[in-house]
Amino acid sequence: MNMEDPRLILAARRPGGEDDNEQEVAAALDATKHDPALAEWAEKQSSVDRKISAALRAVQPPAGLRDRILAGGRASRPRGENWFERKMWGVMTYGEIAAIAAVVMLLGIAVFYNYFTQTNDERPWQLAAAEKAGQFESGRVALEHIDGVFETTVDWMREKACPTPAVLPAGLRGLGLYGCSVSKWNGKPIGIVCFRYGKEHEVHLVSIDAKNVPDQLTAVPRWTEVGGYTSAQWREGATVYMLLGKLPRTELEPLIVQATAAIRFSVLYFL
Amino acid sequence: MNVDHTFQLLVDQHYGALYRFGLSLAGNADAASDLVQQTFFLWAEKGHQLRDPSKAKSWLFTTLYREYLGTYRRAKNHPQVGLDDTTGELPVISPEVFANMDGSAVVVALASLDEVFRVPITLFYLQDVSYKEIAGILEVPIGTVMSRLSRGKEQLRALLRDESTSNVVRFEARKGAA
Repeated sequence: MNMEDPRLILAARRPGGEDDNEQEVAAALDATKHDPALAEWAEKQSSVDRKISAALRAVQPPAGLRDRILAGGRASRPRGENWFERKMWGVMTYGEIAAIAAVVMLLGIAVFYNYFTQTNDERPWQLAAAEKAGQFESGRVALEHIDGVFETTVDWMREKACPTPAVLPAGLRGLGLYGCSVSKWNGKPIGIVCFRYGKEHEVHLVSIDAKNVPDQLTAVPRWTEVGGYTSAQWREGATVYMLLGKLPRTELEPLIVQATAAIRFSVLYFL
Repeated sequence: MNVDHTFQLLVDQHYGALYRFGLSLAGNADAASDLVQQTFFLWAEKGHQLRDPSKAKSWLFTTLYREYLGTYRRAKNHPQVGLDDTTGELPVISPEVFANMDGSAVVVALASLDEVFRVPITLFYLQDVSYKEIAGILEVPIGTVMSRLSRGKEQLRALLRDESTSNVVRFEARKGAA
């Protein structure tokens, strides 16, 4: 068979012209413009095709066939329709059940997340803060806010609804400031400001709302060891503070004395 | 648009052409109706698996043809017809043939065609699918479809001419008897 034969192609062309945009049909039709005999043959062909086609299309399906098809379609629908439109137990569609299941699952995820990240931190807040400080020091976790200026650092923490020292104590003021982060302990904000101490060490000033911790702390620092850090914890007004450093108490104590004095001063100033 | 409405639209658009296709394949109205109903039944069951809605028409014709092959064709003989590479001249049909030609005459002529021609010729004259879609339904190359259409038209027109001639003879005989 010669596929290039225009007659073969034109014989396959529907007489209604539906195929005229097909590339080979268009080429064959174009050939009729230069070949009168071919044009005449094609016209006769189309004429006969149109009449046969019209006669065939005039054949009508028997009465009632359409209704029987529609009834059959409805009868088979439970297996054929979209799964989400089928009914389960005749009450709810699978789609509705899937939507409810999705909501339940999202609630479950929310509860799970809350349980493990906020409400179930059985560690003391001091240990949680010390572990966070260790992560910052090791570089495993980046500080959220990098800033060498204390005032803007404090502003950022306040935006996070985190308690902050109003004034940086003189003892810490001489240290380089890395920045800060606000974490959550049992859903409550806890701030950590990180300072460079010498060439190899860091110290961290932790702040948390006093009503969110169980400890009965006073303005007198309580020294203890937390998570490998030497720590001092005290309360000033509504805020509890903790200074952390992997340093002996003798090196941290001058910072704390000045810090507590400065914080006390700032509280009195604002009062 | 709900499933019932979509299904009804599909039925309204295609059940007539499918019936005519089934009629030319099976040769009787009951078998044709069964084929069409079975085709839409399968659509109701499996049609949602079709990802491209524009392929619904081809799917329906293909399914009806396969149903016919699986159900009715086994009972029939199917002569193999050789195909040559030439496109012969179409038989001349007088204008009177068309004047007297109705749908049933065409269906009878189609049913008398060799099956290898009957399927593509019927699909062609239904005008619902292109020759490329016919190739897809029959799972044969496009060139084969073109060749079968060309040869099939020759056979069909010869049958229509013969049918017309016999009708004229019968008409003349009735006139003579009267």
